[in-house]
Amino acid sequence: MVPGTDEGSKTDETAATEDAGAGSWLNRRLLLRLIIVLAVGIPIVVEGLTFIGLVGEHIDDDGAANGPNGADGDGVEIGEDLLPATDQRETLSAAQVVVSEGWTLTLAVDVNNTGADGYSLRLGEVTTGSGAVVAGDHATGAMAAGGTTSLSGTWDLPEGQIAETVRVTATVPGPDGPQTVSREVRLARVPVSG
Amino acid sequence: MATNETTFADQFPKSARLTRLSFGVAFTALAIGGLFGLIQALHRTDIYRVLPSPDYYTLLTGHGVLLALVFTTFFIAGLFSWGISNSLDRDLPGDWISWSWWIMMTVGTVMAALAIIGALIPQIPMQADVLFTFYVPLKGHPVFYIGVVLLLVGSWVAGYDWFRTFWSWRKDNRGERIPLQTFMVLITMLMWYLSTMGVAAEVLIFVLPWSLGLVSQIDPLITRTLFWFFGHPVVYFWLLPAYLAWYTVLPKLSGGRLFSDPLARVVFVLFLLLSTPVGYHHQYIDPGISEGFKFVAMTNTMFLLLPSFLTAFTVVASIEHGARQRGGKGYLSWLRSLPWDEPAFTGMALAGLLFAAGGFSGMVNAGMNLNYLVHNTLWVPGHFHLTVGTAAALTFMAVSYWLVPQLTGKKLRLRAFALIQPYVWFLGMTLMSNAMHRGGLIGLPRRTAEPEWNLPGGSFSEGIGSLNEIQLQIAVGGILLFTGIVLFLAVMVATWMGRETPTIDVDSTIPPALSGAENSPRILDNYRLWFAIAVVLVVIAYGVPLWDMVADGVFSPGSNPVTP
Amino acid sequence: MEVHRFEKIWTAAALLLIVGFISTIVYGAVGPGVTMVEDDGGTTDQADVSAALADELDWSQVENFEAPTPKAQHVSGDKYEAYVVTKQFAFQPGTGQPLRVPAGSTVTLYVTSPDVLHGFEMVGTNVNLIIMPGQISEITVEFDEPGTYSMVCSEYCGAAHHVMEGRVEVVPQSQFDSTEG
Repeated sequence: MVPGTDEGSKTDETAATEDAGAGSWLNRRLLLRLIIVLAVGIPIVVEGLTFIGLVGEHIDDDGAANGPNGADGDGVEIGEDLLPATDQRETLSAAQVVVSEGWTLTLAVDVNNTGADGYSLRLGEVTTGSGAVVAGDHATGAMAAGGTTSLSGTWDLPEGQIAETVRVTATVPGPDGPQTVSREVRLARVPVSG
Repeated sequence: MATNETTFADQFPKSARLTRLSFGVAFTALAIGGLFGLIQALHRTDIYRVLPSPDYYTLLTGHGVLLALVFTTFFIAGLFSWGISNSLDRDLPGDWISWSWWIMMTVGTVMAALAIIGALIPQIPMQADVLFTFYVPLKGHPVFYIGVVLLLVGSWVAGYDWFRTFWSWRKDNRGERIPLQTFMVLITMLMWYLSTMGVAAEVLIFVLPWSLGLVSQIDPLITRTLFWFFGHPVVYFWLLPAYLAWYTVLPKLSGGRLFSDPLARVVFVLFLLLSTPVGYHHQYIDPGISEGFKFVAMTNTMFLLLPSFLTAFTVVASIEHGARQRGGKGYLSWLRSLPWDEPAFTGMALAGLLFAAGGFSGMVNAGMNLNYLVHNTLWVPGHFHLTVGTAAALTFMAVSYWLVPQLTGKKLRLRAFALIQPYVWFLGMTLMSNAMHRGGLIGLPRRTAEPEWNLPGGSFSEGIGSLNEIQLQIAVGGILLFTGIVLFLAVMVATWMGRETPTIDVDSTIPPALSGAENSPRILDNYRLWFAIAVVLVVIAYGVPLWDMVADGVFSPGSNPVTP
Repeated sequence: MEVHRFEKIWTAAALLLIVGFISTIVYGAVGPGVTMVEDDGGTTDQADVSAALADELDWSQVENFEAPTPKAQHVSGDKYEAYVVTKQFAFQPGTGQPLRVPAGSTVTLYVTSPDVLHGFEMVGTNVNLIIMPGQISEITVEFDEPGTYSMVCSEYCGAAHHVMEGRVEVVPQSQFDSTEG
């Protein structure tokens, strides 16, 4: 190796060129220099950019970005109405995943037909947090005015996945014929028990 | 001039054989454990998945056990066998006792590994999805615990093998100072004997009988405390062999000599004294342990920074000395004169550099009330990948480049791979570990199969964009690290399988230190004294709390086993 | 034993740094008053907790613990108590129904587990506990502003560990008083 000096790397390189002579030896030095530049430079650049980004975010929001926020807390909990869009009450009464042979989701809804004859509610497919769709079809059938019933169903979730939404469809009788109200309803975090 | 030189393998064939076989198991564990790590990095960041999430924990257990228990212990067994013979200039006995430790350790490893993998293979009716810390009441198959015990007992017998070699040297060399490498091996093993008492008691008295159904309930607090009695000193069991390489081999590779032998001895003695009475710093947020004991553990831990700081000084001074021998000048320019194209040197130097960062993140972990912010978050793996994952692992790989030719009589092959491997490791680790530290600060948990970004109460404070960038850096870092393992293993396999060569192109001589053992007080060599003091310190730190825990019943408050 | 002058300076600096680190921790304990989890929560029989959760035992029979409710219980002034159970794989309260506490209150949390080790971590805060069967983790937390915090389980507890999440809602006092508990 060439004795180091206080001068810049360019001088070192020139000295090496004069010194070396053997082509393969020179390539090796260049390769080494390249590797060192990459190995040290990439982290500095990446972490530097990240750091600048973080600092920028802090300056912008002045700490408001930290701390609690309720962005994702809007799922339907036990005791809440699945379809506020309808007059009828569809109250989620149970939501549970039990892990034994598989991951079995159970949903139960207390349905109160506060409207006219012929209302029905159907629970359809469940979509998991990872995007998998689990088919299911559980329906109340036509209900009389003032009638109440409890609708429940189970879905076999893929192992390890979280139930995120369920398709809820209500057929509401109206003056102009039956109306269909269908929503992809987001569920609050469903407890999993082992 | 090409004559057959006398290598270490020629001079000390029994030692070389045990070392080679230990390295063989170590590198196999590295390959499998490393592969698991790659799968984990891609799974956890949701970039590419090959298994369902519950199986992540099986891989995680395998990764921890194979890398942090098997790769380390076997490599250290090999390195220490070499260190003893090299510094005492005598071969290990190589009799049935020598072989028994290797066999016990290997059988134990295979048993534990089978129990772990069993969770993925229906034909094997075993599972051990308990992670490398195997906290109770989660229960693995008894075969797992028996395997761990065999690995431990084997390591105890290996220590005996080295002690008895030293004692026989001692008979022929009365009054001489213990050669430095041997001194380091003996002190490390004394620390190991003291600290493994905890985990041995935990497994033999509590966990194994419980897993066999002989005892129905055991106390999670006592078992966890006994584990961490061992769990902190084990990291020094991994680190001190790396220090052995940095103190005795790295100066020579830099072109110079060790700055101070006496200070190296002082450092090792400090580790023997202080490594064990600090275990509570892993249990700062545990219930059932009073704040007073946690505070004492905190102060002891902070003082453990001292021997590492001393090491930094001595190692850098030695490297600088070497650089100046090679013609380096100036305040910092001498760094350029170092042999950055020599993989053994580069690996150790970069490992030392990253260790400095890891040491400081460890200080945050040690900071009692500060620990609330980082406990069980991704910060913790960020920290220990820098320490065991780089200071130890990368140093072990670097030492192998220098040592394996001497153990096999074969020149290092695929030198180009070896040349770039430490740099690839450095890059991968910087990206992955930095992202893990930041992820931990915003609260991302560790040991978790899913990114957990759709939290019920709102996402992590940095927002989804930054979370993506953290996940990406972890994945890219993990891929680079696995590439580093592949490069290293390719070099090892190619070298091992190659033909013997007339020269091995390795200068195995280690020059004497600038300031030798003769400049240090003899009392430093009195390992019995230091061991006694270490025991007293442990009794002070652990005596009362352990007594408190068993006073209300050795097995209570008890828990039944829960199969994960 | 001769020690180089630079090494002496370096050692002194290192010791100073160590003492400095210890002081910052002492400050944290004495100034803002951050205390560590201790053994004041007491112990309990995890089998009793398990039975009470399954409605096979009355909560009054469970030593050192009370029934977990979604709404924190008032003690006096701005002091409240909340009992939380961490089990495989949910927080109760927390997962199905959030834990609700009033803003501006000081809440003592009592947390235990009927099965395995769990973690109780409120993301973005320093509320971070290990929950151990047989032990009750007791910690006092000051909740100032209204908002929502996520809870994650931070200690591996089994195959669905990554699913275990919950929510703590800090609501304005008036809203807290008017909701059912």
